[in-house]
Amino acid sequence: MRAGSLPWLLRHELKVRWREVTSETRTATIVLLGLVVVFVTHTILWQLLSALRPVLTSPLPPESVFLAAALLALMVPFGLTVGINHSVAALFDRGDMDLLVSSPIASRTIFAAKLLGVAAAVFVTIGVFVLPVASLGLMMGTPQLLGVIPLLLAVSLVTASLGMLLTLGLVRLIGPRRARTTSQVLAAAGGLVLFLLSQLPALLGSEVDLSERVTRWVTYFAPGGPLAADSTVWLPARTLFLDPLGTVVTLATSGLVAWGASVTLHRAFVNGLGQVEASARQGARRADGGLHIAQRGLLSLLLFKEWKLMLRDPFQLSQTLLQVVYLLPVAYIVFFADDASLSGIDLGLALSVMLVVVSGTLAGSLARIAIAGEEMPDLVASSPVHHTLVRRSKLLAAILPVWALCLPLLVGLALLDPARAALAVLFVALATLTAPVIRLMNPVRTRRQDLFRRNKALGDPVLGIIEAFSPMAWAATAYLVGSANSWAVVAIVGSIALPVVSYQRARLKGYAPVLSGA
Amino acid sequence: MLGRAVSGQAGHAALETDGLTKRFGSKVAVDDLTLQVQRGELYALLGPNGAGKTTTLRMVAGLLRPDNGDARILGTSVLREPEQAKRRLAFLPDEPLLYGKLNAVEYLEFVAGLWGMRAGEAQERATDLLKWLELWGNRHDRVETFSRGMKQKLGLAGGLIHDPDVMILDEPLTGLDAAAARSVKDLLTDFVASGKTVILTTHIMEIAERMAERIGIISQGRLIAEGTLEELRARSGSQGGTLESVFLELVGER
Repeated sequence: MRAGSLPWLLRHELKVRWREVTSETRTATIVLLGLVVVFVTHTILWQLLSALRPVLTSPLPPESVFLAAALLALMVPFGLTVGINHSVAALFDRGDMDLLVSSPIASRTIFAAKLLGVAAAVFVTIGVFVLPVASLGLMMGTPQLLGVIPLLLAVSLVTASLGMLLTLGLVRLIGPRRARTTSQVLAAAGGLVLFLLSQLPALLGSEVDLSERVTRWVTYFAPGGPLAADSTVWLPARTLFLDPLGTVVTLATSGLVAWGASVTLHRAFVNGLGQVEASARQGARRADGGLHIAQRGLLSLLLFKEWKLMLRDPFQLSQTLLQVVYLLPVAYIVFFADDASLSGIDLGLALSVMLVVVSGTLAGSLARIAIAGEEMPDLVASSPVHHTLVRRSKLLAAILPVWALCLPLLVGLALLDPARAALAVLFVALATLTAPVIRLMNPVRTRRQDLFRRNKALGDPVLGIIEAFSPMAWAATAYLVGSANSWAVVAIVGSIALPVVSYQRARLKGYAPVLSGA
Repeated sequence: MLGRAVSGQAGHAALETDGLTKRFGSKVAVDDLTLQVQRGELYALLGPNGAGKTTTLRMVAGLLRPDNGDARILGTSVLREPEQAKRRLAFLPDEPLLYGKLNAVEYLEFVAGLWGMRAGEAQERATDLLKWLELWGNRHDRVETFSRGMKQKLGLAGGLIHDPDVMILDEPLTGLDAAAARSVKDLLTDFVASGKTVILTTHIMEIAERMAERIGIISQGRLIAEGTLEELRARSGSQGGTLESVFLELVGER
């Protein structure tokens, strides 16, 4: 392998990426986690493929291409989300970019290596979920499913190229600062896109007769229609079944897209790096004038500081918004769903449980930013502010935005079902209070950029698991209480036990209460 | 610029520590440390790496709770009345305590708020400090865009905004270029000249030799020598020697 060549640079890129993932985790843990993931994904996909077995005959019926298209429709937004996130990291986190750009290697080669590195990240991330299709296909006597490998390869190349194109385009159009936030929010909204797509028919034409719509779509997909199973539109999807033409065309097209991206975007990438650096050095200029300092009480001063820091951190913002996105299906059901589509479901109870999970998780994330992500605990601790006020401000900084978001949903729920709304209020309050309290008792400080990287952010794994499960425990309790199930007593004890165990664990580990000063 | 003249209970030293002890597991980081720094004094605490200098300063600043002993700032106990003691103090570690995502004005606003300053007073003082430290043109820039020297200066502005009587600095010149280092040294000299107190640690012997009135040498958590440069020379038996040779002699003794 010639030093400075694309394969050489790609090997370096992959090695660095691998080290980033594994540097703070023991090999045994990685192997164990890998085995668990392989087992879980195989088990779930086995169930799914077993259900589809009647369709997966040999030869495959033409209509099976619709299944492949559905899988592809899931893979592309997911891949784009990962692609954007890794493109942003390549452009903004710099890492070894100064070294590479200052070397005599052509910028096109450097960019191509970065692009393929992003594609590799997409391949691995989505691969965890879809590659078991290939091994299960072999086990079930459908070796055509090995086509998931070239399909994944093509999706990785295309979404990495699109992610890079989108990120660089945004840098050029709206500047590095806004581009970073916007692209990360866009990446976070990948899930939202899927949700909106699924709701599109309902959102577009509630007054149009459903049977008429269905008839029209069936015509499109029927033999001879523009979207028939043998249509060339489905050529990429046919790659899943190793269709020779589909596979060749899809791989060639994706390779061409990646090659085109590396040829056309490498200068934009280098310019983007320059813009990012210039922006970092330049800072935000404002028209000259004096300075203004507002009079604030101590609590509001501390709260404003927390929220300002949260809002100015694009990565944290996008990760938190991602969780807000999960609230949207809840909002949708509350405000738009009709009775007919919800018959047989205890809607109020279902919404209450969902609200408890989402609000608890969101409060936990904000608490993680405010408490574990506190950059300067020494500044606050060396000030004459009592530590109880500091802790209270951290707690409120995490809880108040969540309550503000949940309030309209709770009001909507109260109009639908007042009793269930009361249940939701109680358990949302408990879940949102517990998550930050667990964080306050767990003093592990984390670099802000690692806050949402589970392998680096948890510090103590037991405390991390407790934090993650606490909203689930309260949600289960809400469900059991709402169903008048006697197991509710056990669930309540369990939900209360989690923060107690967390407290005991923190004491056992010899942690001092966080932000206490001396 | 450096605010009002020092006030407080007459007769009390700027800093007194009494049997200050801190253990980390089986390691004794600071061992029964007793020292006294007078008002209007610039006191340098020297010692080899791991001697316990930073641990001592962090206990004095109320960031670490001592296992034994107490520290008093202008007569106020850091353990019993921490908020009162901290009100008179500014602590500046080697890495300035700054939030990258805030701009310079927002940072000073936050620090002034922590020390309970009125908005008008904080605004006036922030304006003066930013102009004096040549950061006025960057006042609306985010701290993350600042150079190391600018960050150090802003850290100093944060330390000075509430007009402290005692400043504690841990390696204040780390990573500064010659011009920024000069600014910091001038600032500390002016601060002491206005009757206030500076306690600093440094590895740069020349700073301690030129600026400090008294020097304490700490090794393995214990104060092994203290006094003016002349007194230390006499103690080490190296008359006319540099502080570096005195320091090495005294530390090597142990």
